[in-house]
Amino acid sequence: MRNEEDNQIIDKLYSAEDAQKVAQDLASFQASLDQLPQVSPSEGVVCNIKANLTRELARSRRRRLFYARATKVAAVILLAIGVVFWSYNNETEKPGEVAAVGIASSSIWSEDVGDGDIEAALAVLEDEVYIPASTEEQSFYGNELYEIENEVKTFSAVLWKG
Amino acid sequence: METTRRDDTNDIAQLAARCKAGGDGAYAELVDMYSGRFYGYFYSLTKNRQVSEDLLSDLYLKIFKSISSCDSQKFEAWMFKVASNLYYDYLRKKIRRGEVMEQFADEAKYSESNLHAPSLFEWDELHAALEKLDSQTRELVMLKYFSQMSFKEIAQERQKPIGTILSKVHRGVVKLRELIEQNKL
Repeated sequence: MRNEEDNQIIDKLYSAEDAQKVAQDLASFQASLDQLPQVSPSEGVVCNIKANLTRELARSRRRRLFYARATKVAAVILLAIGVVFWSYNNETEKPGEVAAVGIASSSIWSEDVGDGDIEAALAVLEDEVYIPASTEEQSFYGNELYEIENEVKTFSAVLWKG
Repeated sequence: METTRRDDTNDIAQLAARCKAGGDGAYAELVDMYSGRFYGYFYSLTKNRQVSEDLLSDLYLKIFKSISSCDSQKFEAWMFKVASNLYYDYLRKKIRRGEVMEQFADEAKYSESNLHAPSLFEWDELHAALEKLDSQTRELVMLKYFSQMSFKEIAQERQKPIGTILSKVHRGVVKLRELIEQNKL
């Protein structure tokens, strides 16, 4: 097939007479080269090449396996980091706190906040305050709590009036 | 001369695909199929068994390393392109080291001592004639013969017009025949 392809090109590029001569030259050269004794690499070299290729193939398979494992490990690590991060965020941003902060901040800017909202926000704030065990502590922290409650109520009242 | 030929392009493409996939035995088959042709190509150009065997080993490693970048349908042409590049690299290194002239003398001795088949005189004749061609024509003529690529394939691979490749090979062949005949007289 390749010879046919070559002959077509020779026919196209040369005049009929020249094309025949060129084709003959090439064919006779090929025939004389075919007469040459066969040269081939020694069996040892061929075996060596095959052994090298087998070794390279095994190495490349090991490398591919290593990369596949490394990718899996990296994916697991990333997943673990994601889970830890997510649970940490969940831990720190409790819905109650978010609500309290949200209500407190919105109460400054909005007049639509009702008593119920303020009570809910205060309840959350109270949860966060340390409940003292002894009577002395109770009176001290009780006063503190009372003052905080009063301050918030006063602040809200001032805002609503305003 | 060993000429393991597979005209069936599909078979070669399949073999290329198997090699790419790292299939068992695919490379061994590739070595068995093409070693003779590659070796003949290198030997015709270097005139040295040892160098040809080294180039052959390097060639298969190169093929192994860059097989993923080749088009399976043009596998044979691609392999000979790699072989050709390898030969030119070898030649450049030799020239850089200034060993080209010494090489011919050494290789002649090596050839005489290692290749003692009676008809090797013909190889010597061919080598002597090839030496008188410029390196490009010499490589092109041997590539055409050993790769069994068509002129169109060689032209595509070299990115040159078919006419240029054809006339270079033809001129080279005519010159070689003249030189061989002169030597016989």
